[in-house]
Amino acid sequence: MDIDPVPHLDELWRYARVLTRDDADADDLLQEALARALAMQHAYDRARPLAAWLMRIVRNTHLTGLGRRNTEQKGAVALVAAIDPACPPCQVEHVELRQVAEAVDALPREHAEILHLVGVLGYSYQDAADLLDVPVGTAMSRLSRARATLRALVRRAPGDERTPGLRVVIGGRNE
Amino acid sequence: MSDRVDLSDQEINAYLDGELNPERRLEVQALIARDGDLARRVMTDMHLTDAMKLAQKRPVHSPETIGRARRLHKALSRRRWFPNASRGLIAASLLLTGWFANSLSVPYRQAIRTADEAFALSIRDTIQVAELDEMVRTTFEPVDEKLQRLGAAVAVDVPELPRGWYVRQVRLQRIDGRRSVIVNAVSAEGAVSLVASPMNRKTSVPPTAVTDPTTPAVFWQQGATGYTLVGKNVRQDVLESVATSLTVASRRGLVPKIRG
Repeated sequence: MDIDPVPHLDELWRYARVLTRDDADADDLLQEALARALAMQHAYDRARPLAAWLMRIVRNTHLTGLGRRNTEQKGAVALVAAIDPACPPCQVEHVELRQVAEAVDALPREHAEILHLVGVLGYSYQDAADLLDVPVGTAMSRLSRARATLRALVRRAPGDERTPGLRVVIGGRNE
Repeated sequence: MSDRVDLSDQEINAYLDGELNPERRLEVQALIARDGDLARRVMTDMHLTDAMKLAQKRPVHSPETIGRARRLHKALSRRRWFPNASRGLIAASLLLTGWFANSLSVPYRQAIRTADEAFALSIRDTIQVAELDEMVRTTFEPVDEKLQRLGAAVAVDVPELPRGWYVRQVRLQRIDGRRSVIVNAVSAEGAVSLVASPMNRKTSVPPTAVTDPTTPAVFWQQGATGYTLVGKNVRQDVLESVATSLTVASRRGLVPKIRG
């Protein structure tokens, strides 16, 4: 079993970036998570993949550390969209990568997180649910909402705040 | 007509994420082929997912991050090897301790084993002797036959006893580690005891007085059997005379009968 964390640093940083929405915060979170992993080295089960263990530590560190408070402050002022169930099928034929990156940053953290785990990292629903500590059904529902929200965000033209079917969500709660 | 109603969002996602079984995957593909809206929806999600992957930044990790990752690697590597090494050391220590303790206890265990074996052998022999004696006590048996049988049992030659002796008891007894036949009799000269014991080697010893002021005794040996005649109230010269007559009798070489 591979026990070298260096090859997994990119993957860990990107996950940290999804959680913190900020490059510098992702650096800090990753470093803090590595320090925590060092302190918790005896808890590592060598029969399980190192990357999955470190991903969990990154997430727990984010949820319990300073990064969480910082992110919550940013989340309170961020413009986040949720899809209206009545929204017609999206007609996105082509998008700029920059648009997608911005849309992902605008997603609620839990939506960005499940999209990153399943869509980018290729986690199975079960693995993602395990990491997120939620039932598989919850992870699937969250993924459906995340994809719908992303479609809506990308469909909306930059600077257009009047896109039909969108509602403004502040701090993760509908206003 | 659209088949869209047959597919939920979660099923579309499961198709995109490879979570459907092959059979359902084929069905979904058939539905996508017939439904233009569904096909555009699926293509959009696939496109966005690919775009998300491409939009991933390539981070440049700080030396601090790399350093922490390497420290973690070293720690995990130590954990991988150290338990095995420590287990090996513990096993070696236990082995050496056991070896040392074994060496220390060898003399005691050997002494105990010797004592135990000697004790067991003694018990076994005593039981065998008792069994032989038991036969004498529970079965009516003429004296001469008892003598021959017990003599054969312990491999000694018992001489024919003088006709004037009244035999009171014949028994087996361990004397100085040797199974011996003891005959208690009353002779015209007084009470006498004859002891026939197996000796270590064959030789011939004539009747020899044993110097004992309280109990006159005579010893002689014929072949591998040693004889001692004791008469507490019998004069020494009389004992020697009786011993001489018994020597002649033992020289005749009595052959024990085979019974049964």
